[in-house]
Amino acid sequence: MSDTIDGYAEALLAVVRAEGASGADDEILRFAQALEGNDELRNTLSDPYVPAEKRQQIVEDLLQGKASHVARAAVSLVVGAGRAGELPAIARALVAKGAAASGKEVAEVRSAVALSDDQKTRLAASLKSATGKDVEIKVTLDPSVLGGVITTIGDTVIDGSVRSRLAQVKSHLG
Amino acid sequence: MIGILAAEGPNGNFIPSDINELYWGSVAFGIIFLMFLWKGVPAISKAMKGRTVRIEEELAAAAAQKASAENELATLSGQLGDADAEAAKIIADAREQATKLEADLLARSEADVADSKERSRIEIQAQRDQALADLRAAVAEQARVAADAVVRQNLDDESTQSALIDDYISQLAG
Repeated sequence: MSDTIDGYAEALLAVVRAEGASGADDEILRFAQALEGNDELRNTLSDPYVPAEKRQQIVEDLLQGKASHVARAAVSLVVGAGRAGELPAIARALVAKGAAASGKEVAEVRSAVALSDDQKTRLAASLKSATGKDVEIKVTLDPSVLGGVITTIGDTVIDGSVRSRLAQVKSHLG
Repeated sequence: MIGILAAEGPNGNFIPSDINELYWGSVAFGIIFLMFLWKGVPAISKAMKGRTVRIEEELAAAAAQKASAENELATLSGQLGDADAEAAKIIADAREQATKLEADLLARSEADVADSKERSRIEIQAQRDQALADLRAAVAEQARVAADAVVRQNLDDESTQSALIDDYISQLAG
């Protein structure tokens, strides 16, 4: 992790804590994941020829009513500083630092449908059982998963998605 | 007979009537005879010897020519014998070459036939493999489409999605 990303993550974490917006880090992470999956949006927000105000206005328009003002301000700050390309890494560092503060690791969970609280709790327990680490679940809805779950903890990916099983079946077929 | 000759003489005797004629005739005869003995006989003898020598030389030359001719004949006979042997050898070589050529042509022909058969076999096998591969690919594609459709149809059910997540959690815990 570079000093820049670490610095932004530390700063955003401080803002989130100062504002008492405990869910803002999740909102920032979800936006960052959406940014990763959308080339056009990523290119626009990373384009140095697009004025910073215009890029920040796009962020405001996208997150208006869908995220807390703390999350909108944090994302707007990063995009306005010309760091939209690094936003996913910054967001992951942010949630990792937040989780680490409470002795946990972040488990990024991609699912086609939302997980119930009970499923999140059981998944956290199962991941602890499998990895020996306390984890903080961060769920992202991803229709391309089709079904099941893909969990990423650090460099470890546990893929139980229908997408991957279907890919395996297709591979076997030919 | 002598009596007849004598009776025909001018004086009716065998001896001429003129004794001088007889005398000078005898002297002349003697001189001529001596001259003959002195010059004629050696000349004749020399001529005879020369002729003898010439004849001997001619005989020797003829003998030499004969010997030469015989040598030539022997040489020609030898050469003829060599030519016969050479001709026999050429014929034998030609027969051997012809036999070898025939064998080579036969072997090459058989090899060509075998090669042609092998090429045909490989080509037929390749066409068969290609047909099987095409068929297999077509079946696999149909199977993929069918599997994809069935899976997506089943995933529309919310309980199925939830069950997939629960299975994933159970396997992690397991």
